[in-house]
Amino acid sequence: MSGLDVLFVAVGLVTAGAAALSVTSRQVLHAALWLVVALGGLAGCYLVLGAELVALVQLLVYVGAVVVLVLFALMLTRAGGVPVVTGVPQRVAAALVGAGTTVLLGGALLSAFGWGRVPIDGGGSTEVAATIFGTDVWPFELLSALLLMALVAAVAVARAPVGGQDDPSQRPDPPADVEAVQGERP
Amino acid sequence: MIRPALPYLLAAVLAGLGVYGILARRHAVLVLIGVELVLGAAGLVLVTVAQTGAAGDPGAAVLTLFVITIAAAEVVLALAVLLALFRARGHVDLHAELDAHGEEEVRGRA
Amino acid sequence: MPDLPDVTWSDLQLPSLPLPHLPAPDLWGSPAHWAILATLLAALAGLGLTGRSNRLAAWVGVGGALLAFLATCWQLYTLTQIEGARRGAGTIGALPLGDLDAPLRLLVTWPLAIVAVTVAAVALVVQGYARWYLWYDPRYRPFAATVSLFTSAMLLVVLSDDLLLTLVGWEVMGWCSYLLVGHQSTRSAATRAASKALLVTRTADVGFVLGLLVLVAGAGTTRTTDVVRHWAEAGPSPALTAAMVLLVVGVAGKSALFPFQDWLPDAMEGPTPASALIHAATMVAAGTVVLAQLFPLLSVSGPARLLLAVLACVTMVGAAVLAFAQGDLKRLLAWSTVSQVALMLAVLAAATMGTGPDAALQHLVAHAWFKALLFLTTGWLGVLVGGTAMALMASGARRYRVLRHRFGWGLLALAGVPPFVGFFSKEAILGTAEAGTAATGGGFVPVLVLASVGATAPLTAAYCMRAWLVLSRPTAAQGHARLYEPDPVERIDDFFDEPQVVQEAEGVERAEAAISSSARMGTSALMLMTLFGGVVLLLPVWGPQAHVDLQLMAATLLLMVVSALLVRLAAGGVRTRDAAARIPAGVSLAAERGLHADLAYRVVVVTPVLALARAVAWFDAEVLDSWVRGAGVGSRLLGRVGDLTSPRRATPALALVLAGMLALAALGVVTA
Repeated sequence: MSGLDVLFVAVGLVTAGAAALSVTSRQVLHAALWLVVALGGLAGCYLVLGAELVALVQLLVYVGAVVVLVLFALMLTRAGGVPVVTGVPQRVAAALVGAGTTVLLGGALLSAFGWGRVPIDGGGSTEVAATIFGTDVWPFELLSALLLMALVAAVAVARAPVGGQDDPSQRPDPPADVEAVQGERP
Repeated sequence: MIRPALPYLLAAVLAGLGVYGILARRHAVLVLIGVELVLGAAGLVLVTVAQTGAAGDPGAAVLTLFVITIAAAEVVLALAVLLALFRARGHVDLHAELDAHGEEEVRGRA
Repeated sequence: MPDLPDVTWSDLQLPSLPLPHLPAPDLWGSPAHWAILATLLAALAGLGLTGRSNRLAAWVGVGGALLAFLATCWQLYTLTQIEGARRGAGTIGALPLGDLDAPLRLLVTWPLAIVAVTVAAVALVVQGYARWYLWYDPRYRPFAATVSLFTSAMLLVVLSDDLLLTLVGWEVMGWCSYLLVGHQSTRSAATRAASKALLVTRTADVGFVLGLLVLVAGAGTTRTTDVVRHWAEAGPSPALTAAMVLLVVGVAGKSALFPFQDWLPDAMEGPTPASALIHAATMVAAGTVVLAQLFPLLSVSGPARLLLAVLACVTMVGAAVLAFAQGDLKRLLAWSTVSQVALMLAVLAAATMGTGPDAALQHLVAHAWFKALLFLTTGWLGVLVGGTAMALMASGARRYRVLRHRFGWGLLALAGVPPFVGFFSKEAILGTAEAGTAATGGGFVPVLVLASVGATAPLTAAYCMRAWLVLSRPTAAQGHARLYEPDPVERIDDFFDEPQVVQEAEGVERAEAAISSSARMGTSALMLMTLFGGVVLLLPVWGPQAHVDLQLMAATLLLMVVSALLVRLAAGGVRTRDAAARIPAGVSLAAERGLHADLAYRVVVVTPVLALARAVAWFDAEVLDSWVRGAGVGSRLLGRVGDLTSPRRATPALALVLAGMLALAALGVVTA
């Protein structure tokens, strides 16, 4: 085992553990925080693999932006006592499907790439930049348009009147009503 | 020198955990966390191919950047939909029972 | 028996006279085109251009018929100027039908040219007559247009040299007969008779079309001349026999031979001009024309001749017997038409290539004249006395003296008394049948035909005598009639003026009774042709003819006289001088109903067909549809099962979807 292997195993174990906790934690907030650790570990994996730029972008976009959004969403949609995990049979089924996915994917990838060693020979940031601003410049520009559209659409969806009509009596969330419903629950 | 099998195995584990998270959670935001894990697994496979492939083609790394960007946009939209869902129903429980027409059965509210 | 001199028909024929050469204008097409197109355009114009004017419609109808008549007469003259007396008319453009050759040509030969003149002349008279007869009919304009179309179709059949054109004319005639018979469409009897005529003839037409198809497919062309040449060179074959048998079946339907005979008497529900047209010159005679055109083929296919002979002979004798028992003069004439048309067809079966089919066409021409005369006169009298039942018609020829000669000459011609036209044509038929007997050494078909013709002659004489006795009965009320009707028949002098003057003076009923000058003139022309038409039959243009057996002629005439005398004797004690009154009431009633042919049709055809239709409908509704219904029930059950088993919550459903995807992916990985 080379040093890189050891390093990757260590980072990978952290990532996998954090991911396992983020999908099993019963505390909503904890799950989100474990996700931060898992995505950060993934960025570490990218670093070990020698892709510094991707690792940085991963940190910036995921840990910096996406997770913050998730945390906001969690706070805005407090469940108020609704259980966050399903019943045992559903979880067993979920575990089976997840394990099946792992086995299938791992088996396919291992049988395709084998167990051998290869040198890390990725292009540097220069090549990536050349590709982004050279060959793939049009998809890149399209991506910026996509982000803009996603922003506008998110605002429109989040502020849209319920049921497509802006009738106050049709809204299910007048403050008194919501309070009463949530107050009834233990 | 590195064994590419290790990142591939990690990607498979992450994908499996993500699928488990999608299926085992009933809070919509937590389901979204599972989706993020699956996307991360996909990114890991792409980066590994880019760094250990024979040609040294930066295309796969660029593709990872694209995936991350698109995932960000997707998360923004998904969270907006969740907010709208919450405003309409007062909760984001995906385990709520639906009637034959796909409408949520009103229990305890009427 | 004294030794009678041997007389041949050609001894009787007139000498061939040279005609002066007239300057012929150089016109488009040929007279045949002109005759057909004139009537066809008259039909279209009568429907589309006349608006609400009956007068204009009458001008168009009569004008079209007049043009056709002039064109066919001109055609006669042009034939005398042509070597071989065959005139082909150019095509109006061959149909592109792939391998099949469809030149759409017309052809004129002497016999068919004379038939065409007769058709056009009868149509002209009928158009003029109909203008008077249907003066107050609100649907006169469609009637006139239909008569024009009918004439056009018949001329097309007569002059066609293409089996496709023949078929077109044939079917158009069937359709027009439906319209004409059902003219008074508010009467249920008329619509029933029209539907019956259409259904019966259309059923038989199946055979006609199939027969033509076999002939055309074998020859590879639709041109009649080529078809006849092809099959005649090929000699007798099963295909030819089948085709001719099918054709005979179709002709039997149109000409009201035995199994199909019942539609024709029922067609009397149509207006009298329509009956005259259908019976005299057009529809029922079309079969004779077509079979005469295809005569070389008919003469070599024995089974078709046998079938035709048996059907025609049964019809000929049976219809003559039935005619005697009818209580209505129009129905009597209808049955007599059935009998006479069967006579034409029977002689076609008996004729050989040595004699040719001309005797049938001669009788067709003769029959057209005297039958049109009889029908139109009957309609005239029917207007005067208010109906065509024998009881109403009694003494008609005495009360209205103007009708006396028309009835008398017509009936004499029908009976075949010399020197009327019917005598000559009947002699031609007898001579042809006898020649056929001699040529085949006493074959079954000619002997059967000869015997049937011999039996029909006295029967015809008998019912003619009966009708005459009734019509000419001296009436006790004759003096009474003379009191208020000193001048029996009014006349409208100007045909194309509305009869307002007469109406104001005499009232509507008298105005209706008064006949127009043109209608009267038309019947007079027919009357003259009935007497002098024999001249036409003696023209030297008719084909080879047989000997005239004076012995046979004398025997036939003797039989006719005897039967007429018997009828006179039978009528002696009856108040109405109606010999048919001696017939038992039950028999008479059955005869009036055509021997319950309706019942036979119902039992033999309608009931099985209806049963079959119900069986098919049941099969469709209960067996075939049950699969469809079962599919519906099955889908509903499946849907309910799916509804019950599908999860009502989002997460299990998602788990199922992902598991399914996983299974698919696994399948892909394993099989890759």
